[in-house]
Amino acid sequence: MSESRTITNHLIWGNVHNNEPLEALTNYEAGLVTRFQAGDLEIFDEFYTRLLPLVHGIAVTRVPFHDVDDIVQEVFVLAFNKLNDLRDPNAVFGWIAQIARNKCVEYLRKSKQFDELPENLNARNRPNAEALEVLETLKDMPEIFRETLILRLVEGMTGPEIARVTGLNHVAVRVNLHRGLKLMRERLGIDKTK
Amino acid sequence: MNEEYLWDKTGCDEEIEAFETALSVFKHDCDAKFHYPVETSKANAFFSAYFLKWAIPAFVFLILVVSIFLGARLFNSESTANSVAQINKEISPTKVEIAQNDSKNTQSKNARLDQTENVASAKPHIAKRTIQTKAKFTVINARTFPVTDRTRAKKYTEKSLALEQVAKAHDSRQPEFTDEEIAAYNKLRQALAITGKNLRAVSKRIQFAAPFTPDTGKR
Repeated sequence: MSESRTITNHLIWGNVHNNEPLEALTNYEAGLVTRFQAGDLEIFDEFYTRLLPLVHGIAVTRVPFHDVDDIVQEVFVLAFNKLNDLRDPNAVFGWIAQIARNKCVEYLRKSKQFDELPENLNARNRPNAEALEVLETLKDMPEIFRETLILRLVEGMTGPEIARVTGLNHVAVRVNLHRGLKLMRERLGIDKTK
Repeated sequence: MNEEYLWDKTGCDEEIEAFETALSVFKHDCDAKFHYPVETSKANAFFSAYFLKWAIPAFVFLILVVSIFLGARLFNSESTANSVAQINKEISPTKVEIAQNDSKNTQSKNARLDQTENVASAKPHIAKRTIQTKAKFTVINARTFPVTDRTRAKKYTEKSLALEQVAKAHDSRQPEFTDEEIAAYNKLRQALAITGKNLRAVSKRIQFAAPFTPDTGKR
């Protein structure tokens, strides 16, 4: 039992160190970090473009949608100020993902003091009810599936890209996508036969 | 469900595409640009606009003023010290000469003091006023003049105060007159009591009278 659970955890969470191509794929972003640390501050625009989907996806899974842009901006401002302190440029994805998660937690802690406004307050940019329902279902899912599915279905990333930015191996991402989508369909009440 | 489409978007899957379409409203803006922190630009603007334009010239000006002030003070002290040293070198008397000079100085001081005391005894109110004025002047000098002049002024002040004490002592003394002096004093007062009108009448009488002969003393 414990052995099967270990295997399952290994498949779900993956093992970063056994995935050799991953290190090569992160070389480009690591190069951006190295150039930024060398004094080329203009490279941060490209850094922002490359890492925006990951940060945006993490924020979408955790905070109300109307505050996602603020969270993203705060994360990148912090990254801009602290990027010189990053010792290992290859760990840039995990580093900025953790910043985004911490910012979301900080936001939720502060926002408890206020009553939350309804999502449909701004009618112009209001998402339709179906989209909101799917998003809420995604937010209620276990964390191991939530980020992977959001990055795939909302941010439009492919499986290999998700594996690269999250640090998971391909098998783990594939399993998370499959099981997550299956769970989402169940929660949305979609018939499997259709 | 098409697993390959879910993995790398190869092929097609209507259900997943429907999810993607529904959730596309939450997707990030691909054309979004990073807004650089306003605080950083504000700080740069502050340093460029105010610090560099005003603070640095003000700092340089302050340093110049302070250096000029300190330099002037240093120059004054050096020149004073040099002048004192030069004077000392020029004088450089022997012990005998110093003793002679001291005795001469004390004699001349005593003579001056005696003279002043005589003046004070003759006209005590004038001497007192003069001494007070001199004392004030020396006090002002003591405040404004440098150290060497201050010592000089201090000595002068001490001397003036001594003279003032003499004048005070003279004021406090009771005059001792004889009876003849008192009678003469009263006559003088009577003479002074004659008004100008009477004096003119007396002078007219004198003009119409016989000429005055100083040799005999008779008219």
